[in-house]
Amino acid sequence: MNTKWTQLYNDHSLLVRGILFRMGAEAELDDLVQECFIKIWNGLKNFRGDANMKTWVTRITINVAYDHFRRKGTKIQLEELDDSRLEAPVVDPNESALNKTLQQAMQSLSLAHRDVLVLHVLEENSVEEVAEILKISLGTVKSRLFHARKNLKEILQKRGIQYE
Amino acid sequence: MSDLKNNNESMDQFLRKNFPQAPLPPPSERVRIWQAIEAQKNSEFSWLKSLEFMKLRWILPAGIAATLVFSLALHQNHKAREEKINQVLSSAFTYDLDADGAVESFF
Repeated sequence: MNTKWTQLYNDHSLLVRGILFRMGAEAELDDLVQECFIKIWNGLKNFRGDANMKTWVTRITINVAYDHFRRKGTKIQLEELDDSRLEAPVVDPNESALNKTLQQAMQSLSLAHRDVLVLHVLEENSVEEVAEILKISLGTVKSRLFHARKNLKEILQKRGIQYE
Repeated sequence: MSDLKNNNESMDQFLRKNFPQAPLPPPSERVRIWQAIEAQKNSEFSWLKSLEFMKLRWILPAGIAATLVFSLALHQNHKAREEKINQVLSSAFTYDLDADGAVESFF
């Protein structure tokens, strides 16, 4: 097997898988990881190294996630929060239930809010890196982060989860 | 302001600590994706090969024929223009040649 491929896969498979999973594409994870890597491999010949490899791979992964949710018919709403999805019963915050609730809460957010939270909070990219990955301004990233945290906090409170 | 920052930090820490990890990839994933890449490459290759065949069979003769037609048209056009210029010149100018063949006068 191609050694370049092995290196590429070993370096980025957990990153790609992690982002897709946290964005909420759990059911089609394996297929989407494959889709990402095919795009990454095909795009390698055009990769000029303007951005670093991790930023570039993350951008492709986010684009694949967006395409996936568009195909599924998920509306990309920038600021709206769908209140109907907040009415789930309050769960007992034992660990696995808490994990599941957090996943559901994250999926209640719009894609534009979800991606900044995933990239900045969970993947621990800086605000500048998130701006570069999503090709948006620093101000937009900060604004989306503010609203995303606010919305997530509301959702978690409605489900009886306190984190402070 | 610092309250907001602390609040953000505690939420971020809470999420990092409690958000579930993605399941590990199946052990065969690397090989499976490589096979998909190879399969795609092969299908592109055969598409290119058929294009190559089409090129030799149709595109090349068609290109040669088009060049010939274009050259002929260009030649005809050039000839027509030359004749027209000659006509204009012969009607506009009169000139005489002296015994040595040099131009003596115009108009």
